[in-house]
Amino acid sequence: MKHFKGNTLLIELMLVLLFFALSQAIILQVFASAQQTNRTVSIRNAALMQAQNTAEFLAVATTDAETALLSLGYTADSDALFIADHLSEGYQLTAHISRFTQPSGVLTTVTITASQEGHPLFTLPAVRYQGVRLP
Amino acid sequence: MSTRTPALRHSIPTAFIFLLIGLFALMSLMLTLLGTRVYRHIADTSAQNGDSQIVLNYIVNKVRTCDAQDAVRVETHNGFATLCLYEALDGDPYVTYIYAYNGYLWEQFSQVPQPFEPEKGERLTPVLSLAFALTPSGLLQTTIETNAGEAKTVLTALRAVSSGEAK
Repeated sequence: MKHFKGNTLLIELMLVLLFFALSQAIILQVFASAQQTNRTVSIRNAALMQAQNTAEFLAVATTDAETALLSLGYTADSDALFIADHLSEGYQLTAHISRFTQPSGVLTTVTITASQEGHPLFTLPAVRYQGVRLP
Repeated sequence: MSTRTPALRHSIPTAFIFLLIGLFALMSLMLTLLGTRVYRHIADTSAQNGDSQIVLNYIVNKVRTCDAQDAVRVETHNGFATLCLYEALDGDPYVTYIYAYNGYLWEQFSQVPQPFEPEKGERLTPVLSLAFALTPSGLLQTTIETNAGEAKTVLTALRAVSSGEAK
């Protein structure tokens, strides 16, 4: 009878331990997910601030958008695409320039896209209109 | 037939049970410590982001509300680099000074002829240092350093500055 009681206690403990191990696996996943979310939020904040700064700089730049982006540390990937790597901070900014020309002026749209490891985080359009000075 | 003594036979399952209880306690402790570390890290990062965002958003919003021709200026008063936001209320000129003093961000609202006295302002939030630069094209650069030693810069394009072209 004593032997039977000892086995029951052992089985109960092992079941508790098994339950705890399963709970621990789930909780560890939650912790890892929280850590990852925290990192993503930090990267998104930093990227958003940098993109906003780019948009504000473009709003008052006296030069064209290409020159302004180059002065901000972007590198030209093609005629209309500029890239700023912030790999140490975990993100990359790309700026795509498009122009809509009319007789009255030019509407320049710089679409700033932030991405983290190839996945897009957000897109921020910076629009500027330059009117033609009529004589 | 077992050669072990009854006492030894009895002690092995008992030791195993204690081992299991010990393992349970150890894993609980490890999980608690890990959880504490993760939580502390998340809370610290969140606080750092929050601190700098509060200061920068506050300054940007103040500038936006006072964005008029020649209303936003960067001046030095009593050796303090201050952001001065000028406005007229009922025809009288007033100024809002924003500056860093004694490890805090301060704001002081006063009539224009009154002298600037940093200790008479309103203390807002902790900040280690604050620097402003205003370009002729109307780009205000605000750099803050939080108490955590983190420096952040935000650019604000002033809408009221005439650049000679539509924006």
